Amino acid sequence: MKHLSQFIFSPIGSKIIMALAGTMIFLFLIGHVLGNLLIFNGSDSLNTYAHWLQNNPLLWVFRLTMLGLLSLHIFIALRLYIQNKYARPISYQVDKDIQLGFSEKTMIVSGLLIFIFIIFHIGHLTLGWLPTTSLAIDNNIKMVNVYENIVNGFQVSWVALFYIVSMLIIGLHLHHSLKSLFQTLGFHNHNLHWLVYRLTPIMIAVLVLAFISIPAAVLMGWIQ
Amino acid sequence: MADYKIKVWRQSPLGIGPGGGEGPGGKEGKFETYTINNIDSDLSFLEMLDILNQQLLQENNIPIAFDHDCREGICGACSLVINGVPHGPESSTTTCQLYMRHFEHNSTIIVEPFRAKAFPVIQDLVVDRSAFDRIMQAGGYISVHTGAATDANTVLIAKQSADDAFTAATCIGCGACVAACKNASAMLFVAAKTSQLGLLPQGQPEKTNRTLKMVQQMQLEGFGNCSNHYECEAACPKNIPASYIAQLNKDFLISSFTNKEFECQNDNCYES
Repeated sequence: MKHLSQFIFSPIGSKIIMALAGTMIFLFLIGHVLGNLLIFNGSDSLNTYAHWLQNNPLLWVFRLTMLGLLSLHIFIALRLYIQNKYARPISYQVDKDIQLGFSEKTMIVSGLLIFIFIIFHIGHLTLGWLPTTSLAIDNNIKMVNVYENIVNGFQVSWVALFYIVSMLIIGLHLHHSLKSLFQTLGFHNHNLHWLVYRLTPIMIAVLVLAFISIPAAVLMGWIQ
Repeated sequence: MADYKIKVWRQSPLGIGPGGGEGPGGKEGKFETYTINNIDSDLSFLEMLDILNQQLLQENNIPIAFDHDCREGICGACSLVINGVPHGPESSTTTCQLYMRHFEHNSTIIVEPFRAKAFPVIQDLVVDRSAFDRIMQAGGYISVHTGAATDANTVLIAKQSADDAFTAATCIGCGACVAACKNASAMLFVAAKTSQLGLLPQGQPEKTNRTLKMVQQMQLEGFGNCSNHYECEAACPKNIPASYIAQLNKDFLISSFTNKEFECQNDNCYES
């Protein structure tokens, strides 16, 4: 136990925990997008899937686990961010980036924007904050019509655009995160180079495009 | 021959100037701009500063304090952040091996000290890098019995391990990694020093203790955390790759759960 607490508060240990929490969230995103893509299979597929999820006895266990992982990820990120600011109290007159990329430089900003998006997303499609979504039971199908909620929701163009931009920001955040993951967990050698620098950008692009395809398809009128 | 404007950080934290008065830049420090003319393009950056100091002395001013020793790029004494880059704009180069031909005639060159909480300014451009010494004292060594040196090749070492340990050992401890890192993290330095010993058989008995102690000392000194930006790798005059940081991360993870001897210096291991 003593070793665990020492590890958690160490500069490397806390990063490893943040990386593992982030990885779990990333794996959730893959599952989430696969479920979402059922929308292209018609309303019955998506609604049946959504109904199964909503009535699953493990739903709240899963939700609370995700909330815990997200809170842990954000808490450690902010703690490290503050520590890092203290480590250089006087900044440089000329602060030049030698090889620093946009994704690396904007991690804290993209992270905060994603957090705002998550709140909006839950409010929009789970809690029905906007008038376009209804949590009422659809009498025809005897369950909440998730398909209709999504289509109605994304027919409001600013909502669809907000989702699309947010997905791009998630892609930006993941671009640095996935590369970092291997480094933080100590896997960084020549054999893994192709995985880190070739495969992960493709994985991120596929994930982001899959998410974007839904609001884009509604906006274009392909899903009605 | 070229002319330059040198905008340089002057600071006298000890407050000792001529006649016991306030030193150049005062305790808080500020930039001063000097003009220097007829500089030969084959002069090194430090030789240019020598000439500037000569000029200041002739004008009855206090010369600029800066660190230097071997001027051959191997001791790690020279520092300086030149136009926003530690050791200047040339890659794989220490400040002492940087030449004035890399700077345009009539340009303004901004010279700052390495900035980090763990590297406080002593005077002008000289910073106290003894935090690195304390990290080394925490575990950057191997304990061996004295006596005659053992025969060569008594302990067999794989070529790859020997090469990797040697690359890590080329770290001159200049602190450019800290200066370049957006978080003022010393991870590349600590990674190089732990890997240099940890990759060799002689470094194995103390490996886990060494890793934990050096990482703890790094944090206690007030260095930041690694964000995998790899600015350290880009600024390192000895081209030490950031993959050593991955090695350190792995060693730390294993050491944290296998070492039973490591004791924290205080109640909270990582906060002074």
